[in-house]
Amino acid sequence: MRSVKPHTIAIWTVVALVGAAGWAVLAVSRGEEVSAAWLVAAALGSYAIAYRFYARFIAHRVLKVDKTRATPAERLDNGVDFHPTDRRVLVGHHFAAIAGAGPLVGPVLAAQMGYLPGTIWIIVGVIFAGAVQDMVTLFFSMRRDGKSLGQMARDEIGVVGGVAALIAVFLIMIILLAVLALVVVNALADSAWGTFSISMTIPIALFMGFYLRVLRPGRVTEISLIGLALLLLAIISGNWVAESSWADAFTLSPGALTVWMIIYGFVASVLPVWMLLAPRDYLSTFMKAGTIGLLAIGVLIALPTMKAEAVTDFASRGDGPVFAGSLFPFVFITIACGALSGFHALVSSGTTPKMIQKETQVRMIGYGSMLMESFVAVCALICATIIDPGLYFAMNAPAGFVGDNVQAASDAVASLGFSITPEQLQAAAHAVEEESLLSRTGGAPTFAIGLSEIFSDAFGGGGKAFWYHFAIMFEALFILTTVDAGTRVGRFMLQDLMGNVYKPFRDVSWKPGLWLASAVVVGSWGYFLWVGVHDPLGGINQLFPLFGIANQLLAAVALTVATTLLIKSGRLKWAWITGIPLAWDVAVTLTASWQKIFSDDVAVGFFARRDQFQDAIDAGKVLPPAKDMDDMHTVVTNATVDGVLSVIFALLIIIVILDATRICVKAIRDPASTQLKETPYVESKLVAPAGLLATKEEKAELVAAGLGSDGGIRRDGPA
Amino acid sequence: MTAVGDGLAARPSLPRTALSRLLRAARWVRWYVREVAGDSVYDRYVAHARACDPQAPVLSRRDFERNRTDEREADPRKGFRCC
Repeated sequence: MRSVKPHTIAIWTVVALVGAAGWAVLAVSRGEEVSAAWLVAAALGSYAIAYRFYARFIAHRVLKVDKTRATPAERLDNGVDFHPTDRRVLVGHHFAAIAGAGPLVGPVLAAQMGYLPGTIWIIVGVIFAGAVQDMVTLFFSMRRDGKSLGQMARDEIGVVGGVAALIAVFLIMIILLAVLALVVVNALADSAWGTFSISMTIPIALFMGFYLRVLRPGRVTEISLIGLALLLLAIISGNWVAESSWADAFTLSPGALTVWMIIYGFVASVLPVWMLLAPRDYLSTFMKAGTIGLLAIGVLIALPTMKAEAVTDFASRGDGPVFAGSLFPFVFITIACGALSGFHALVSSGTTPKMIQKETQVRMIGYGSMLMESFVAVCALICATIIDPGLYFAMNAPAGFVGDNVQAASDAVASLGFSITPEQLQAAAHAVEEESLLSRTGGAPTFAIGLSEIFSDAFGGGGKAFWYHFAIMFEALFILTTVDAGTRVGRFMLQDLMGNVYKPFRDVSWKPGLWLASAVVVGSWGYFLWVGVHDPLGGINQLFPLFGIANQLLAAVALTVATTLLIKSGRLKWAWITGIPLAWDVAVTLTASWQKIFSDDVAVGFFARRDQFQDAIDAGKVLPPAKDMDDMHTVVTNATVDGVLSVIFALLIIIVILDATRICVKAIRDPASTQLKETPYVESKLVAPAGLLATKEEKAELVAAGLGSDGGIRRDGPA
Repeated sequence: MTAVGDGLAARPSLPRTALSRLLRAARWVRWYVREVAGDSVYDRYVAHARACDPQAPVLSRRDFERNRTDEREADPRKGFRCC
């Protein structure tokens, strides 16, 4: 047993006390306004403890990371794909790849149940489920030369489970793209400022692409800085445009924006990567890093007070206007990305494992990045809870409920038990120079309002309107990048699938196949986007639960693969590490699916609503919020499609789990029969620290290797 | 060779004045941004190719960067970012 120094104990005691104080204040405060500082304290304290103790335990005792074992990056180093990358650089890459709009949207919607349920799940969920999933998946993929989750599922579970996992990924991609596109449409509808700024990103990206392709290839940083300057100019000039005679040209209805989104999605995905996607990617990554950094600092400087209740009545009654259903399971479904995100498993298996220097670094990169993502979600929750609850509900309830004028909205909010005057609603919209903030669902505008309050408080500069549009731009920018990149991934999977029927499809340079596959993918998410925009019940209200279920389902696939691998590699006694989050995730996902399919409550169950509206159509009646028979038929169609999708998602997850159980039982009964597809041991010749800062022992090792720096340098290399 | 690591160790250590610390920090930031953004990928490729054979033929920067972007065309899963 190694001895622990007294000052180490003292430091960790203080950290624990800070975290505990945060939790204590959150737990006992009722009916008074609580400073967001306590939330930050609870989060950071818990993260520190979890990273220091739980993540370390998993890395060393469960996964048994081996610093003498060469990683794929070291063995297969080709200077491009496989390359041992400095851990601090890789954590940047990995975090940039996992952080997106998800953790900003989910917590905002979940705020309808108050700040406490969301806070607890974001923090507890990331510690025991999300970060564990990311780290374990990263580890197992690293041990398999960076194989993808789908491949691991096929290799280690079987063809049936593997194919089910593949179909799940494709469907999830479609829903994800539709929901993200819907967020953008809702944020830009009837906003000349926002629409102008966002459309300016296209010429900016084209210019950057041209610069990188022709003028100065590879000078990413300089052109990104130029791009960022142009982007800020686009945000500022949006205000001038909104007040000029051009305003009408950029004031688009949700329907018109949908058409533009679909056209954009198709064109962007068939253009060469260098023209639009690559430069946009650089731009959104810089923007993301900057804004998230500013947000964390801004929250710490401004330390705003939360105006939302700790737990609202919607948590138990399940009749909230933002999304239907009670706390269990729908808070967990809604928050998704900030606590546990299946999509991260796709990043953790693929690019990152091919670049990791040392096995010991999986803790910092897998677990650490996810903690940062969770903190982003905490910040988003703070943004949503510091604004007036009346404004929150006026912005996030479906249009059919809120109505189309401030008086109706004020009455609707009052019917929920909150209050806001029509004048206050008008003033809030005026402060950010928007025509109206009513029913701006999708999370982005609410987040932007909260962010503009924090930023104008912490940094000043340009006032609320600038920061509001800055936040909208920031979110829309990387959603559009995801729409482009995601369409390409979906297309790639589809081409692979169609290649089984007609060979040329598999050739990605065969243009007709490319266009057809792109059109199918864009058509699919475009359909759901269209449906979401025109749904009288509100697109976010209907589609977001599906997105959450899909995402959590993918997490279940990843956790199933991880648990199977733990068992197959003879670590049955540690299988609970991923087994418990898996059991929880499956319980949440299947309960949510069950309710969405079978619930008699028309607000929750898709088929119950279908029947209700179909019966009304048969009787010749129009039910609110539908305004006419067309609306009635829309509701019936949408409810049917969404219901069928819920059934498919639930079946897919059951198939994967049953197939995995079969393999696990076999592995437990007859351990000798199992075959692990792990790459054999090769001794590592790299010296590199495991964590952010090199420990004393690691420094000594680096010095002994004749290095002196804290980089990872080949022991026998030409250095 | 300074292609791996942060390249700071190789430099002669200046007296620890405020200015030298500032310079050191600035150099680190420059190194970090170039690494994360991908400016340094080409240098790394050349260093890698020349590590064994100093005379090895290498692509020009223009051709290398073109290939690198076009690879994403062929497999869009490379560099995919999350929701």
